[in-house]
Amino acid sequence: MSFDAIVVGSGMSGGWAAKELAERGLKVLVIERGRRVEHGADYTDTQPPWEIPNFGRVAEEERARDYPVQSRCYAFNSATKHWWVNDTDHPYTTPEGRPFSWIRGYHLGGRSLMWARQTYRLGELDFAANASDGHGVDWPIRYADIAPWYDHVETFVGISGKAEGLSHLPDSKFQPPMELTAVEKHFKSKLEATHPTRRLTNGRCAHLTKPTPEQEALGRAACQYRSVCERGCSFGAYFSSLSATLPAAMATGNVTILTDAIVHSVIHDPKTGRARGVRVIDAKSNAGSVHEARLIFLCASAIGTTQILLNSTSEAAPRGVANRSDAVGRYLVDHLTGLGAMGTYPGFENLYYRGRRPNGFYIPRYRNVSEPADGYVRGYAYQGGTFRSTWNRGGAQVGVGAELKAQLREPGPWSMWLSGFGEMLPRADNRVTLGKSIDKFGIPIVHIDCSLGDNDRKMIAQINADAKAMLEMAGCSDIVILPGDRNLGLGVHEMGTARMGRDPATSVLNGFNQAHDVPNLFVTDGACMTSSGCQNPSLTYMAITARAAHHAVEFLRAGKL
Amino acid sequence: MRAPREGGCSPSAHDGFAVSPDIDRRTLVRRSILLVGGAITGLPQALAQPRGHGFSEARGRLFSAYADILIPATDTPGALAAGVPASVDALMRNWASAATAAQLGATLDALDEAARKTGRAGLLALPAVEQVAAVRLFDAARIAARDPGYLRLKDLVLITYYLSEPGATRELRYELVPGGWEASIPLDPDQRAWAV
Repeated sequence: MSFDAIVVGSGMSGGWAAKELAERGLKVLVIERGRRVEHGADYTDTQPPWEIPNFGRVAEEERARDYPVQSRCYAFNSATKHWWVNDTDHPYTTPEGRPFSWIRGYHLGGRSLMWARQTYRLGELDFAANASDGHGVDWPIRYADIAPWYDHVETFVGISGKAEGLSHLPDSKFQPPMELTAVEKHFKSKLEATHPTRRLTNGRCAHLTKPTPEQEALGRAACQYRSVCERGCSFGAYFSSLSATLPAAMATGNVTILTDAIVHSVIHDPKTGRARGVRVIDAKSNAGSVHEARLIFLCASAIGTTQILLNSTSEAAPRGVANRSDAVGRYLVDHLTGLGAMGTYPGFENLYYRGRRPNGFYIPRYRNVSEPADGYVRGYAYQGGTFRSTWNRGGAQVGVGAELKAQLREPGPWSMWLSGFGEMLPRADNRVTLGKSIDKFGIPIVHIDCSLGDNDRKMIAQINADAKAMLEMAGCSDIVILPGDRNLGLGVHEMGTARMGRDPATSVLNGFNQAHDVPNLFVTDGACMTSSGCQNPSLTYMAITARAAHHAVEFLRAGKL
Repeated sequence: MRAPREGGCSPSAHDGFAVSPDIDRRTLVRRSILLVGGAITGLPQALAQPRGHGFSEARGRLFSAYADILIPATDTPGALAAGVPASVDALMRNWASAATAAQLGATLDALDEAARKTGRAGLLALPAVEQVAAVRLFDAARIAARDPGYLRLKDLVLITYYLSEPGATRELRYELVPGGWEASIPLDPDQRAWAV
């Protein structure tokens, strides 16, 4: 069977590439390295807590042996374990003293099943950042280029949030926001009164709160406020490839999905300068095969795509296809996460809530926007939330018997947390390379060397200081700074390793996500990001993918590919 | 975007506790099955596939007594009716590492030893009122000392109680499918906390 396009990966970006290309009439082959899973049938979201294996705990010896990396992700537990790769089977290396946690899910839908679902647009400030302060190369696009594509994907995805009219955090096409708690409203008013340069808004997330007919036709329903999202959502209330893009893609009749198929490399034809297809290893039999198409989209996640590009060597491209610039693998960034503070919020003892909101609030970036920064460029935002503690506070306090039960029957005081997300600067030395050893599929394993720079460290200090100061302003007690001892990678926002740019000598992709050197090869996952902003990136991957697919089909029809 | 969670339990190294009494017990169970020509079907899974680091029988009895005192039956079921001993036994077999089992076993032994010192007999041999007093003293001392073994032991009882069906739905409140989000509602003094 012949295909017009091959899409490598079925996650956040791959699902969109498949849908957009197929809806434009192309015959599309989606190649997914992981197993096939079914929306609904393979989820574990209907069990109450007492039916979850080991009350959510993964056996300690198994966890230490097979999931030492993955288990550091907050969403890893006994009800979600099957979404994470077994670290023993999927090795990579890091330098001594510079750990990097590469969090992965190999299955149909990829990390779109496990993501935290927060969705924020980048703004003009972000697309112009590299040009204005000189770190990284200039983005070849500006906000105006991508704005209509944000509109396009948001209408399909369904984003809950509140319009604020901020130019550096543009509004999405919103479904109704998830309401703030009384404590959050109180904090918002105090914050905005004491800091007129700051804003607090409802968290923006890819959850349906008022489904459209298009979304309902795909079998998706409104959020049920269970907050078991990482187990998969049988209601299809949050966006994933399985709930949304892949069903839409399959409905065209133009899509074939190949699972358990690991792309080894891109086949480059030196005569035409084009990519001819991909080499594939069967994950079960290790048998090799070749699949060909006129158009190749790499959507294998930033590091996965980098591995494929670097492994696609030939006489004409000894350091990997589309890598004349030597930028492939470099400029790796994650977000600075695991930072901030939490504390006990005074008052409001007579108020509670019902339901489990899978969302919180958001304080958009203000450093180097409406307030100066303490000796660094770029900035950070906070996600935050409030809750009343429950029985789990009992483990650390003195108490036995009926009095303990009586104490824990009542909700505890309100707590508030502020969790910073900082922009990391792209630096050439933060780099993914191929190591000498190979995995069980014969593919060289990746070596990830990534560390913080001076700008990053200065920003981290102010993220923590600001969080503490804001909680103090609100009258919080028992304030603790979040440990901040997390490895890079645990933001699970790794990106930048095949960056877009204007100059083929310093970047891999042009303004259409097309490899400068290989016109029918496109990269639209996190690898393409020229800088990261401080916003959660998935929404931007989606918009960039849809835009690239649109232009790729135009180029194809114009005979330019 | 819920509250950032604690980093989970990191097993701390502990030495000196031999698990052999427990292995012996499991061996005996297997032998008795063979002796009666036992069909494995119908056996609880934990017995059919013995593994992990379950408490010895003596420690199991100690644990049950502790759990019953920590979360007694009141107007709602207590730890025993909620199946806490069986749940924790399953956790020890299916979840706990050797180090965790040793740490928790040693903590139970320390509780028994503390009862012996203050009450002249092991916990189980004391009259009920003195058992409660011994657990109360031990709890206060170990919490004050931030003893990691005791913090984990107490946590296990709370987890397996409040996330059990009786704990979550009768002692506290739980909704599998809330269906909506009410961000701010009045809390009457008699209203219970959400289990989750």
